[in-house]
Amino acid sequence: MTLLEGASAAYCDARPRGSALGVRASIEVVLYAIGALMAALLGVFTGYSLLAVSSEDWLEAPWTGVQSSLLGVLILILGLRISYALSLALREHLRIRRCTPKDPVTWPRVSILVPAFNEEGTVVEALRSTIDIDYPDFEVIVVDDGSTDKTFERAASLAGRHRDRVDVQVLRKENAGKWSAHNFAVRHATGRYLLCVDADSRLEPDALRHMVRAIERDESIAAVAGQVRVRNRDGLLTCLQALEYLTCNGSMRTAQSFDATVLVVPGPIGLFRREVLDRVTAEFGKRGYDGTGGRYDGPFEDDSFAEDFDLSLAVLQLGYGIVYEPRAVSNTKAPSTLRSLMNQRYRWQRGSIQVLRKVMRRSRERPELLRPALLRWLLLAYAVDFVLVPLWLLIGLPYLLALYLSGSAIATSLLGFLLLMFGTNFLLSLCYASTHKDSKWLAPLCVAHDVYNTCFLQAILIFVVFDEIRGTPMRWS
Amino acid sequence: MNLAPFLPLISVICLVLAGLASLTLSLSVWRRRRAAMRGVHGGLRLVGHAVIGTAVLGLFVVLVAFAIRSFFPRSGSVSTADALVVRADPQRGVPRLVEADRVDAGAALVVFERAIDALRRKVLLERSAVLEAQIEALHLSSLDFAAEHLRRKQEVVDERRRLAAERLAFTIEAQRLSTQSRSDIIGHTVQQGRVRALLGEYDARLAAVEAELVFARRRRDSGLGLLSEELVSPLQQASVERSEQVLTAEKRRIGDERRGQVAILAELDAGLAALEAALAAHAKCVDEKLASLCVLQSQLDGRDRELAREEGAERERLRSRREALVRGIRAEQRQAAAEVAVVDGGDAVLSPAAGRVLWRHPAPAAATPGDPILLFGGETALRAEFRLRATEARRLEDAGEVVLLAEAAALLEPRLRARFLSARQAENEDGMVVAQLSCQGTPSQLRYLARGHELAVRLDWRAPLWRDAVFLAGIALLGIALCLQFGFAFFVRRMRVAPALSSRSLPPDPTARPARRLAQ
Repeated sequence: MTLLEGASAAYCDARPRGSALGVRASIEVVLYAIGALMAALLGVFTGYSLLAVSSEDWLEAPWTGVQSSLLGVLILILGLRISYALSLALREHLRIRRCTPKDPVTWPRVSILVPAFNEEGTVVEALRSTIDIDYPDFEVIVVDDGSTDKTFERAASLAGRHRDRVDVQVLRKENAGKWSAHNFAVRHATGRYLLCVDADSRLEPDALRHMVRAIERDESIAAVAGQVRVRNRDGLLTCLQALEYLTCNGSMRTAQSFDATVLVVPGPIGLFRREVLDRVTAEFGKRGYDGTGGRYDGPFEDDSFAEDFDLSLAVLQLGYGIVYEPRAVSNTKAPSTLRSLMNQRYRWQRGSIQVLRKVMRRSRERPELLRPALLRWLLLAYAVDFVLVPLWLLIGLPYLLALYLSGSAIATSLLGFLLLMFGTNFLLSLCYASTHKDSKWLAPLCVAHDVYNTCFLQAILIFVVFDEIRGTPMRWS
Repeated sequence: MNLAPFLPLISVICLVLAGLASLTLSLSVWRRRRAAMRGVHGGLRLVGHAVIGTAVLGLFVVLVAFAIRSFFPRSGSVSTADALVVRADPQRGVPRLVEADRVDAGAALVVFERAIDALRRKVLLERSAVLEAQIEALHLSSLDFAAEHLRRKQEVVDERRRLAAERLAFTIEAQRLSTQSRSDIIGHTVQQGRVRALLGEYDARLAAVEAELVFARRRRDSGLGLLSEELVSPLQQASVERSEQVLTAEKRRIGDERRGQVAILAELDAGLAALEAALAAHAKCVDEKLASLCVLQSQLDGRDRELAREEGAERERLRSRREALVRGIRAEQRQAAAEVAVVDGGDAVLSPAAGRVLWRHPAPAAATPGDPILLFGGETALRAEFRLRATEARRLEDAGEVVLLAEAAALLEPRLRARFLSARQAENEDGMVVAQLSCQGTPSQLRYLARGHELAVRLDWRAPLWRDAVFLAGIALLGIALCLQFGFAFFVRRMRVAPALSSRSLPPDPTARPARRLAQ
């Protein structure tokens, strides 16, 4: 029984067992099951076939044998990983479908933290969407992190009480980074729960209620990750990112949510329990800044580009759970140019490496912090991203291309494998679009998305690793 | 335009371009970040852009070199123009393939056998086996001599045996008689000695008796005087007289006995003489008999020699006769073999020249009509032709063994090994040649070709990149970019530019101040 299964019975209105899920839900379940089965079968059969072929190559052409063996292992691991994640996602999906959380007796007060830096173009709309949230008691704290434009003035125009239920505070501080703005906002927050959002995000009105319902299910749940949806779908690049957010982030988070081990509470929408953040501050966040240079101590730390990932892992290391609530949606603005996209991926990947190093360092000092579920998901997610995918790009893909150009029969088989994988991805894209209430028209982009995600976004990793090894100082942009 | 053949290349180029674009963009982002960190001014950014541009251009040129290598058509075809294809034909009969891999000129490659021919062939072979058995039997049988000769030979043998027996018996009898005679002579001689001893004894006893008689007579005479004088009694005288009488009687008896012995001795002497005469006669008779036997023996030897001579002549005659018989059977055998050859060679496909069997049907009897059953040709019968650049052809010649990829979907084994054979100038196309490669096909490929299919192949070999001018130009551009990068880095260090971070910092500000709260 997972962490949440026990709590579900107490905090959820469970539907009668055996009741019909509805046609749409049934289709979603079938798609999940087909996807999991196909991924497992493709991984096992293709991996096994390549390993069998490589055993013949070892004697005649050792390098080819190494390549095909690695390719076989890669495909096997990737297939099993996808299958495992899908099976957990299916179970989580069924759990969510069969269990509607109860509304709390009194809705607790929530503080919405909005750090902003040079966001004069988006901060007002973000604040308006925040004010329009359908929730009885909450406050909004905007922190201008020393913007050089009119962000503060624009935000300040909305400061005050709105609709007798929401207080908007606009604060300003010296520029020190998003982490510092968050910490500064936490200091001024009065709510029991803290919802971190970005200044360019727009929350759906019912997002907060869904998240509060989810976090109220169990005291052990320290945070809820919402669904981040791309709103500026005005080009191929942003549409691809929309599909990426939907399939990559959504699928993994749904699966991780079954273990209450969602690794990343995204910056655009993440609800935290206040006391847990205080404990994180007490355990890890004491640096003694005390406002010098605009820097403040708090749960967010300054030693990585991915402060949201850092905080999420800190929470998980302390033994709390984090769940995913796909119905809580934050519409955010994705990079619309290749350069800004690469800049973002540089930050994400370098931040991820920094946080993983930090987790390893902490775990060496305090081994009890490395919990089994956390370790499992870190391996499943980041061992693949940082080890297997680069290996695939360096060894597997050139080998496959060489085979493909040479007209080898194996390449034809692998091409069939890839086509089946594309088909599976298409089905799963449809499935995720359905479960996340997103547009189905993103699904046809899955072929381009695979190229974009596997081939296009990975080159920056070379420079990230280079900079991380060299210890190049960080800069946001 | 049919783009299907180029789809793999196009897709690979798209993927490589995506990767290259990603790499370029990542490099650009990374450089901008570094420049921002170092606060490099616009002029140096231009240099940086030039470096990136040169590097990208170099990469592009390298990619173009790759593309040219990949795009340049390398399609050709494999032909079996110099090979002989034998096909199954039920009308001609059941094919039987040559078993040897290498075949001389004029040898039968395939023999088509019909059922009647097979039976006839079987009969002839059986006949040949029978004849062979006859020859063996002839060799095993003894020579058949004439009965008269054998009878005569037997007579001589019997005669010789009889003579030998007779001689033996005679010899034994002669020996017995001689022994007996000698034994008798010895007996007689012994008896003669004994008689003579008795005679001597008798003589001695006679003399003794005579002396005693004389003595007795003198005693009697003296007794008479004494008797008269009465000196002796008459009784005594009578005793003396009786003694004289006894002695006289004894003398007479001894005399008689002596005469008897003398008579015996005379008989013995006569007998001995007779015996010696008989012995001599017997010896003479034996000698005569032996002489006659020797004569007979020599006669028999003569007959023996005559018979042996006759036997040799007969043996020679019989051997000649048997050899004549064997020659006759051998001739019949050759005749049968010739008939088999006639049957075998009745419908055969002969090799036009010395060569090797490239492929043979595993079960030619089961081949469907028109199916190839045997592919025969020289060492280079399987040839592929490609249109190549002359320089490329020269490099191909240096490359040794290369791989060709068959494009026929029906082939499960698409790879062929090939080796450069020759090249000829392409007509009306300077710098291009038609290269011929000698191929080594697998059985499935050879079968495919033997069926008359056109086997389109692709050359899975490319000239080394390091000898490609375009590729070298791309590498040179990358080298220039690298040198520029080093020079740029050196120049930046010399300039000692200040970090760019300070320019982005805001002036010192109070740690935090609440914003104005706008009351609604």
